[in-house]
Amino acid sequence: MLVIENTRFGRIEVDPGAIIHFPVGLVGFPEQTSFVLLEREEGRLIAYLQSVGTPELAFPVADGVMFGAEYPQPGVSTLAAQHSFTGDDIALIVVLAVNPETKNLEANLLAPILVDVEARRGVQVVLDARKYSAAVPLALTEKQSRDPDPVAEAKRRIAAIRARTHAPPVERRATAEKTATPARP
Amino acid sequence: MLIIRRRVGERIVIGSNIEISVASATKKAVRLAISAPKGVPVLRGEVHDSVVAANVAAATGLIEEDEPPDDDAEASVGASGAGSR
Repeated sequence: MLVIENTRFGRIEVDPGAIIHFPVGLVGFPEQTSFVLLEREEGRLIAYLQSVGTPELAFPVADGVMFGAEYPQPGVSTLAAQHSFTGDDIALIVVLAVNPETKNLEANLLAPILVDVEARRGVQVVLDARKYSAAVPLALTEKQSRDPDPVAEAKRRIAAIRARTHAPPVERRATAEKTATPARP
Repeated sequence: MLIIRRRVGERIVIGSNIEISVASATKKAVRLAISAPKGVPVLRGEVHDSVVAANVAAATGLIEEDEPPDDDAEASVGASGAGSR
């Protein structure tokens, strides 16, 4: 078992088989080539793409399905082919961030992450910048979505991706006492 | 930084498998034709920068999750980025 001492989750043990390899890293993070997908617990909308080598580095992510059936363009299978991802089980996840000024949660729809779940390979793809922004306020995208319950579906999928990559759900209790800073007043 | 003068139709080769040629040029803009291996991302500079900025924001921001569970659990999320920006 691989142990990651993490600022967000505390100490977690990860099956080396759960590691997703990013041969070219993420955009702006070329040396970050190994990640695991963690959930704080089952059934959350947001999971974390946790760096294996850099414990303090984790990217909050959600499943792409919550952005509607039209997202992304081109579709996942086309993107997969462009990146020579040949598996049958290709996941698309979207990186989330908090806007420091508005405090809104924003989704980077310009550059989602494609994961070949069986091969455990990932790549951050950059879509057409005329169509997508790297900082789309989340509430807006949820309204735009025509999927009847995109949030529930996104939760189900992110849990499923994690389960398929064999990363353990994180025991929140183990970390909350030590590293906690109140997130809300 | 290396600065090279090229005419339309002339090429620059980077390493052994990246090639850039000048397709056309006007006073205001040049069109470049770039060929690179599949795994090498080629992006417009400003697009690359906006993705980097979004990734950096994602890695450093404080996230409060949508549905706090019934008890004290929300305290542990995103503690690393608190107060840094």
